[in-house]
Amino acid sequence: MRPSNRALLHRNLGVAALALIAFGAILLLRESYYMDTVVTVGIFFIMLMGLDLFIGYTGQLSLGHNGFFALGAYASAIMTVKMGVSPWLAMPVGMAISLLAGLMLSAPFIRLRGFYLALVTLAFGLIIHGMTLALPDVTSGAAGIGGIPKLSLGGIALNTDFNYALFVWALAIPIFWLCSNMMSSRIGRVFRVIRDDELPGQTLGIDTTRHKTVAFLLSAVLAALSGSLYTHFHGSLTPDAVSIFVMFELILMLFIGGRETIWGGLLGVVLIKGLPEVLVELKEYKTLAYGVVFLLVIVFMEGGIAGFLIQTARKLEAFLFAPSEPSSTGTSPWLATQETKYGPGSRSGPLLDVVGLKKTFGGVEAVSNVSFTVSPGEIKSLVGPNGAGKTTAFNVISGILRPDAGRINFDGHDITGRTPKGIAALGVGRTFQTPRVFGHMTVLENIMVGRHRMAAAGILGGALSLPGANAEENGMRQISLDLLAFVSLTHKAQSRAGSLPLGEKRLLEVARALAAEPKLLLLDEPASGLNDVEKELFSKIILQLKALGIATLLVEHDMNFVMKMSDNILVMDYGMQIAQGTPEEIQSNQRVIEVYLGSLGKKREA
Amino acid sequence: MTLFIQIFFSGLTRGSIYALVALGFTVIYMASRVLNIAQGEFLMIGGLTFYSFLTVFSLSEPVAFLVSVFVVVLVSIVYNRVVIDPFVSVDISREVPIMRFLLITIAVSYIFQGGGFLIWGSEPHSVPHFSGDAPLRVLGASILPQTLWILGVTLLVLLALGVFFKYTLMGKAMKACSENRATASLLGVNVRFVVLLAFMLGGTLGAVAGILVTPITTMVYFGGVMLMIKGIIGAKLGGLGTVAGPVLGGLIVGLLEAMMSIMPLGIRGGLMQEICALIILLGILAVRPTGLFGGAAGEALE
Repeated sequence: MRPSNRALLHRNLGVAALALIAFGAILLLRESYYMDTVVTVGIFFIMLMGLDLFIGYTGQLSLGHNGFFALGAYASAIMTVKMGVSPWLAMPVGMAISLLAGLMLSAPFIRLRGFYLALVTLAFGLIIHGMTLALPDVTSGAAGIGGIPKLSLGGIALNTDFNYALFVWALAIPIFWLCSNMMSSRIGRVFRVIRDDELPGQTLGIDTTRHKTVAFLLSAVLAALSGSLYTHFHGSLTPDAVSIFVMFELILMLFIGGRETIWGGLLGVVLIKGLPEVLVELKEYKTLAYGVVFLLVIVFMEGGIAGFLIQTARKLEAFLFAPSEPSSTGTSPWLATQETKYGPGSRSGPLLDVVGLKKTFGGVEAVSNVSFTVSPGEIKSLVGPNGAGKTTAFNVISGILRPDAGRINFDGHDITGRTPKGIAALGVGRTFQTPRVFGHMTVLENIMVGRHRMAAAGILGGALSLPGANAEENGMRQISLDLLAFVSLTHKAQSRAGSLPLGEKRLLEVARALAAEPKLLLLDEPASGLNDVEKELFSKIILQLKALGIATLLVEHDMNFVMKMSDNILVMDYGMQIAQGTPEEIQSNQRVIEVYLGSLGKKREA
Repeated sequence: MTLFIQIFFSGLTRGSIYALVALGFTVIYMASRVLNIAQGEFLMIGGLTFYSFLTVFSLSEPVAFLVSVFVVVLVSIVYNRVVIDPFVSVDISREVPIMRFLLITIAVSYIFQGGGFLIWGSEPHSVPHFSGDAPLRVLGASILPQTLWILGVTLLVLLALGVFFKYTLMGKAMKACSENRATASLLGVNVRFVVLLAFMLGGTLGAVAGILVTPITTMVYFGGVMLMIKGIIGAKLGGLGTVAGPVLGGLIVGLLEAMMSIMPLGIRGGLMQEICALIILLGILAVRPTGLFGGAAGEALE
């Protein structure tokens, strides 16, 4: 069975198991006092799945989703009680309002991250909560709204805990299925990229900001749904139910249960909402106990309970079954498939044409008036002492920095000042001086992220696990495995990318860039920190790419490597271009020897 | 004019408390890059120990004040040694994982609140104003004497901190750490000690703010949370990573809130003004992500 089909089977089995447990519990506890808890757990599980998308997967911290919960809850309460609207209309309206609020909030703020975003969401949550108190004409203020009607579905009143539990869980299980599917699709991978490092994602042609917005909006809508369900369950609603303290508790649940799993939140709710019901005598110590457990989880169990369970299961699996790594074939099938696509001399004229490039940082000219071209299949090197402006030139070409003057043409397009994503989409790939792999994802997943831009399946295709999306996913996986074989990393396919040694990280970055099918590859010091064997492997790879017609622009300090590999060399010093030519010409150029080659022994570059 | 003075003093009073919170938060952030969500609990512990020493142990106010500050400093030392130090100092040259520390401090905030609940219960406690609660008349406006205490003590604390950062070796070491911990360490600064000192300073500032505000607002075990939030917003508004920025930011938050009270927003207590102040703050942050007086552009991304 194909690995991704197996993953799909695993997901479906997981969903079935959860459904079995949930509905089994509902039937077993039918007449018991705990039915109430089963409903509450279901309602907050829906909220937590949304929070996991944003907080768990994209790694941002929100302190204000209680605001979205409030929008859903109060929309339902106000519309049904004060306006006499059907709850089935109020519920989607609440979700739409929440979506709108999410859009208004994300437009100016979502491109930022971390603490800043946490603070903005915090302010949002406070504003919404404040409004529930400050607009008593609408929200009935601190006293809250009572007499909220119970739902009824097709003539069946959902007025008992049992009926309502069935309803809530009949919503929660499909949402669980959709979220799990989506997070194993290419969309989910980008969410996780955002958690690790957005910039390399953008240089692979991915709009990370848009994906972060999607995660934020999905979590906002699920929060509103959860709020609406909460309202109709309790029949009354006070501002206390939507306060910042509720949000803190939800964060506790998510991290204790386990982020980045979708189902981890469920464990958290059961623990936080369920346990105090059983251990009533501990009520006094509740807050303290929450804090201690939370602290212990953050410090010693970063993946939460779910993460711990997954790790244990993996260890058990490795112990019981010998790991079945795909074996490496000597020749790479990737290379064979590429031969037909490019081919030397498939176009005339330069691929990259840089004219009069200039970039200054506060008066310092990091790059001044640099011009050069790169043709298909050409290996061009930028050399020069540290601070000569080589990496700056790279960053300008790949769109990370905007040039102050000059034009950059690539493959017939003027790419001057375009975004990294836009430039990558035209076929420019790059690696980083300090490798920036997606550390907490596997090596294979890293390459599949590289492949992202070549695939089309959207949120729906991924969430519904449509055949087309699955087939595409299988294709991405196969090409990524082929690429892994090409850079001799097949044996590391399932390793965490962050745990690779430097040399393998560099190889991984190249494979990741190649997955996006670049016409031009920018390699920033690929040979630094590599041993001789790895350097040999790297030269071989670069020459194979050359044979395919892929152009390479190289920044490198290792002169043997540069002289051996390059067709053409550009020498820079203090941002100026001081010489350009073949390796032979450069080696005999008097000026170059003066400023650079001659000083190598004196370690000017150290 | 009377109204203006009334609002100005009211804003300045709130703002002073926020400024002290913001400053404590920033001092810890500068030295360690830890965003201390539990800063508000320093206020809570300060205010409630002050209450206990005053009413249960019948100490005089100045003594109770000093002892309470001392208690909070002890708490901050334990806090630093147990949950911060083991992780900050593992590898000084490495980036501090900001999100992880944010979560750790949220956990600590819970622990402090849980402890506060066990010790002082769920009821708010009040203490008498330092110099009675008969309002003074200033240019027609009525001002509580406690307001003057808050302004005076805040000013004193700010001056002392200014001297500390400008003229003492430790203060300079702390500023060096905020610039670059690895380099500071190489130059012989004991980064771990500086971080500890920052926590002690943060505790002191928090305790002072908590003791000053308790006579006016009373204090309860979760009472630090809102003050912390306002203070942190002030810190971010002014610009993290500077000393003057958070103080001004905190004052602006306070003045904004007070100013909103004269807007025709109805008579909903202080709520509508807080909401409007928050919206204005969001607006400012949207336009200037680094804060009004913020430094490096990278700051916005944290």
